[in-house]
Amino acid sequence: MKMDVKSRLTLLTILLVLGWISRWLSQPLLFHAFMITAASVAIFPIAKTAIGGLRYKVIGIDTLVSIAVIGAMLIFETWEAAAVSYLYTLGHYLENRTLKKTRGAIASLLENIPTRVSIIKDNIPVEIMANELTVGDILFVRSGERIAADGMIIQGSAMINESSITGESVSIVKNIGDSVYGSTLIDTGVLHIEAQHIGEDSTYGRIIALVEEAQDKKAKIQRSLETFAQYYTPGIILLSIFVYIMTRDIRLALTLLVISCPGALVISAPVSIVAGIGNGAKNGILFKGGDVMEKLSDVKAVAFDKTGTLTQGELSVEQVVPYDIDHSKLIYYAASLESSSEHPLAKAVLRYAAQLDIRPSMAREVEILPGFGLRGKVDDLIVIIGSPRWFDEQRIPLPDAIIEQLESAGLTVIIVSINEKIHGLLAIADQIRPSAHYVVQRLKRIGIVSAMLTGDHPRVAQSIGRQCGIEHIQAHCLPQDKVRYLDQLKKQYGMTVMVGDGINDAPALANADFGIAMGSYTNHTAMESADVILSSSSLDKLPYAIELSKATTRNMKTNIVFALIVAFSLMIGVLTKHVFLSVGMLIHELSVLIVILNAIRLLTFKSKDA
Amino acid sequence: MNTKYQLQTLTCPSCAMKIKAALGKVAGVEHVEVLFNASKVVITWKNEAESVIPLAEKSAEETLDRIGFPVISKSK
Repeated sequence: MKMDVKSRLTLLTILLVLGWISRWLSQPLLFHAFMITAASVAIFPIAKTAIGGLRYKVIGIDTLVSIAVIGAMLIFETWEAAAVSYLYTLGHYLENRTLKKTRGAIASLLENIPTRVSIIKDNIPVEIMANELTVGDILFVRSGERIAADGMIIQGSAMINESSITGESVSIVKNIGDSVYGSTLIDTGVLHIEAQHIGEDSTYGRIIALVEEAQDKKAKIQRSLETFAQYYTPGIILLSIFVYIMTRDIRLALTLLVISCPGALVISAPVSIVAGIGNGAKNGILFKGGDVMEKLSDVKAVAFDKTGTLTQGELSVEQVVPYDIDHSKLIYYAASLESSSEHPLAKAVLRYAAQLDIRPSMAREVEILPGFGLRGKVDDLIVIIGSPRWFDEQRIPLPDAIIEQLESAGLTVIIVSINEKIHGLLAIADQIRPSAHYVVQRLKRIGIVSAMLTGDHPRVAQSIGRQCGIEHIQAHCLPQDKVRYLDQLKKQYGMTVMVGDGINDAPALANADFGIAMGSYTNHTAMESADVILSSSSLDKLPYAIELSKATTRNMKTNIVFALIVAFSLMIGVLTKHVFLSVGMLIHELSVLIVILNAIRLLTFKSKDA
Repeated sequence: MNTKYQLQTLTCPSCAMKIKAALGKVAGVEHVEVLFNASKVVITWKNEAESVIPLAEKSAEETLDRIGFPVISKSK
């Protein structure tokens, strides 16, 4: 008898209605006949899997329900038998549908991967299934379509919306030679792309694999619940047997079997977690599991890395102080020497020179000075560029007052000397992220302390910290110092998380026992080592991630408390004979549904502030 | 060696216990992990079972079917 659940439910409903009509027409025989038919139709598939389980000596809820229903029929409680099996079937059907919803947010991530793709074969586009794609194929992608793999543009240019990877919703222009990511959307343009990483190898494939794995990583609280359930069910079964032997009350014994599976309790935590993780994933936040959400909801201190996290990590020359030299001449010498360096500070100087249309020449005999600095010959003059610390060590007098003033303003100072004479200072700034101050304030409002870790000079650190509103500052930090300082924060405040961009702070982030990486969906190392990964490099998602983890944990706890109360009340109700078979089943199934519906609320959770 | 099965939506976590117990009795199975939210089950096979994995997989699939969790798809 193969029948899908929907038609089975329809049939059962009809049978039950007919049964009650017969009763109303005072046809008790017909009433019992309809009820027994209904119970038999409903119990058949349940008993089938129950027997399947018994072959492996496994007792599941299906076994217990089958015993209860068959038992009820034997004592001629036909209505109870029909009602229990009907409610069980209906409950499962509704649970199935609502559970799908809790998992919907994660499932919808897959919609960003096209199922059919066009590839160029013998100069014409041919449509194939996405899973038939191989590395080296030339993808043909038009406006409005999503790219199916990571690759390189070999023909065309386009405006691409990369929000699924970078969290930035502003489209960017990409041309021949540029890399593109699978799952990103072409706004306008037509591209030929050579596929380089496909399926689970692609950046987006990795994101999906990570979320899939995360949704089943259990919260701590969940493990204890599962242990509890493991003993609860056999405990109640034993109680039921004991009650029957002592009282010969078969109705009571059967009812105990019906309520012996604490469904709402076991389901309470996983449904909240899957909904919370799903909400995060849709909003560009990856949580690596329920345990991570639990930890983040409890966070008391956030330690920010400076460069690239609180600041944008893009250095620029902010101020130039020439001594006895023309402004553009000074920049010319500095840029010429720096043109051989890859240092971020050097790049800032070169960008600045380019803005002023100053063309640097090639420096000769360039050597790197220990600490930060360079020495070389530009147009036969000896030019040295270095940090104040280097000049201090050489006992070369510096304009200390000005340096201190610049550093206190958060600028990194470098000194230019020409033929052994100080000829200027360059003050270099790293733009603070526009949202940094706001994010720190928002964290403060929910009772979270912010700290900053940086390898930079204390004066620069103090200034940036002040501008962001951060009180706890640790400057001159090496990576190992950062980890030590994190431990210190943890001792002082409790749960501490390190936030970094995964580039400037990779070692510290990898060593921190709890870390958040931002703007890192494309950074595989950061994806591996961090516990929470934010898609965009703006800080805005951080408070949201914390609020979401708090909401998820709260939701989970509400579910657990509710489920415990229901299980306890049911037990009391049954033992005091207020709850009988069908009512027990009804309360049981309702409690499961309520727990699921409560979790679904998390899918629409939004930040109160943003 | 692992085999991963995608099952129909798992609704009760108590079915996880049932799946675990039933599959644990299949020959060649070293470890069973039920991923409730993903509705997947991952079987780790014993090393010595390597040569008979196709057979063992077949009996695992039969077991899942019998206890009411038909397999939708399989991956390594």
